[in-house]
Amino acid sequence: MKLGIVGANSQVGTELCCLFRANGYDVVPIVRNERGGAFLSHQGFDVRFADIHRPDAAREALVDVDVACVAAYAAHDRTVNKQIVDNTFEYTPNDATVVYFSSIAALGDRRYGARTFGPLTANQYTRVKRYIEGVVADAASRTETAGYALRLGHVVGCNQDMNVRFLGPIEDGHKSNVAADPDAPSNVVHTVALCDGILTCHEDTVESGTYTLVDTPQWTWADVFSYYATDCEYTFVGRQAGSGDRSLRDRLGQRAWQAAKSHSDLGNVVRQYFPESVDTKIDLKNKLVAVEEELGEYESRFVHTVRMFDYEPVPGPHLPGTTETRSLLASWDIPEDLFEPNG
Amino acid sequence: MDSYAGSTTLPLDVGLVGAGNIGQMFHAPVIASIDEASLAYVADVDGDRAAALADFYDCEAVVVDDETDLPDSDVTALAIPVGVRAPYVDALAERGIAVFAEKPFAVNTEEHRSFLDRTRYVTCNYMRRYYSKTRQLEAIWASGGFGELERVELSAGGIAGATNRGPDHYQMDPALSGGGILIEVGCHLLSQLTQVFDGDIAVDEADIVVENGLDVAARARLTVSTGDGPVPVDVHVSLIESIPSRFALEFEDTTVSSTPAGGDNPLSITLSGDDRPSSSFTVDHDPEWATSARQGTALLWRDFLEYVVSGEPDPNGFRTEPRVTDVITQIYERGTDAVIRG
Repeated sequence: MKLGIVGANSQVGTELCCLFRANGYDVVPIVRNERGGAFLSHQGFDVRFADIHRPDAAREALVDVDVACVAAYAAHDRTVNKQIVDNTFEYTPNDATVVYFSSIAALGDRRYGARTFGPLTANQYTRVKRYIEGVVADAASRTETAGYALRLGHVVGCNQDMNVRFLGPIEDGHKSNVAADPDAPSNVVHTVALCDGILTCHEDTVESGTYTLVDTPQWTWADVFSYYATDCEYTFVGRQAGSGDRSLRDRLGQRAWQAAKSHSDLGNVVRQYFPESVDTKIDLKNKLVAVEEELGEYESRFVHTVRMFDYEPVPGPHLPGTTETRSLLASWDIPEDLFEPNG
Repeated sequence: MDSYAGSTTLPLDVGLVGAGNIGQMFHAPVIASIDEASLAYVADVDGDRAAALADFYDCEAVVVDDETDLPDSDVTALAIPVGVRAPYVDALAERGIAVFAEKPFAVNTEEHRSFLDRTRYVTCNYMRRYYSKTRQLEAIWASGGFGELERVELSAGGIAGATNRGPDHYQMDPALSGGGILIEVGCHLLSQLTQVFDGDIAVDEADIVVENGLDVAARARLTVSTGDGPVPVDVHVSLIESIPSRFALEFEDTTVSSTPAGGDNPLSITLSGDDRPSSSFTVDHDPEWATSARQGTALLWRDFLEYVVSGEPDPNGFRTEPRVTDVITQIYERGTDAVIRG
């Protein structure tokens, strides 16, 4: 089985190439240019330099792949992204499987990380991903090819920035309070689980379609930190109220209080007409709030929070038939040394 | 030739050759935003691209057909690949027009010298020399306050990821780009080194890794001459390894460091031999200097324009940094296709 990865120089694509090869699979990285393919070429991969957006290049690069994974994302450009997917379906062999890497952001819901305030205000990334999911479905039907759009959770692995986002702040030696519910589902998907998901799609036991892909079963935040942050000291302190996504009510309330307590000229004019007892209470409230704010600022220095800690568990349909992630992590050869920092 | 035929009072008229990304992001908006210059024209081989940029800035659009036929200006910015720059420098110098070239300045030492032979009213956009952290490192070194300097480290890069470049981008063609990661990223690092240190720089060892005709990693051990004796410098750029981005002066008991890029990343001072988090301190930026690439470019433009009207040309032009070109040339000549790892 030959796995072609379009956009293999992405963080995810690079790690998938290394994982698949380390575990005996025949991988063909497909990259637009020599600079992007530098690492993969240096690691001995037989990189195919092709711009899949171009039909002639796609025809040549995809002619012999059994599975084509589209990891490429052409920066919010619907037309180019569509062309990449259409060409992938068009120029892979008829019995090939095409797997497109979508995202849980395509759900278009802030609860799962989409940058949106409603259906009409989703950001470009969400809208393009959702659009391309439709392109995948159409292309799969048109070409009668097995086609899957996988809505990937937060991808974690040796080469993934997501690991740094989750863990970086607690690795610097300071005490850390992780503002997450340890029992809450994390929506992460390990790169080995993504490999497994791709292979599951190719087994032809799952109907073509769009599926959510996270670890099997969902890992909690406690699971994630216990697996990755083994040398760190941290404490889960639960979700912070609106951490990073404070409610509109909270923000308005904060603004109103700041306006009321400010020593503005208007405030001073108005206060002189208050009874002394009321003015005293305002003064004491100011002093209490000052201490609360400053203590809050101090405590916040040690609170590690990212938006993902507040997300709800992503809905399905989940890709069926996947292997338990812990057993994959135990059984797959993971070439961490390729990505370890040098110097 | 030292002749400059343009205006000797500010503001100067500036033409821009190259309406691509760098012209759009840096030179056109900077020229339009500073009092010392006004944008006279935008030229490009792509007429549509030139027209769009020129229209936005309300100036003349020019389709480049002949580098000798550009409109008049006091200064011309060349935001075009280094591999095609030579005929433009010749033509502009012939007309007494000052030249602001993008980095890298030249493909090798020979070309660098030839440009300076043609004109000394020329500079190169090594804008990181104007970064606050670069100037602070210079001041720290000059002060001698941290004791003996034992080593300098310059590194940048990381496993190649998305490039946002198509297969035909000029950076994939060494004849246009001058090379790969060493000249493209290394020139910036070395320009920061030459801002901090005035002395000669020798290349002691060099290794280069080439993939598909492009250098994708380079490592070199240099020695910079200082009044306190020679100081070793380790330079490492790579697209094939995860390496830190670091510009560090390692003194006997203290390391002062930052990232080479990211103008707003401050300096850190770390006390040696102590792993406590409180042994690392962040230095506030110097408000006089830049904390972004655009700011750095603007400061450089201002200084260059003042230089042009001063009528006092320097043999090296305005900080074209021949030492940068020399070091890169030597590394390319001496580097061997070898495994860098380890």
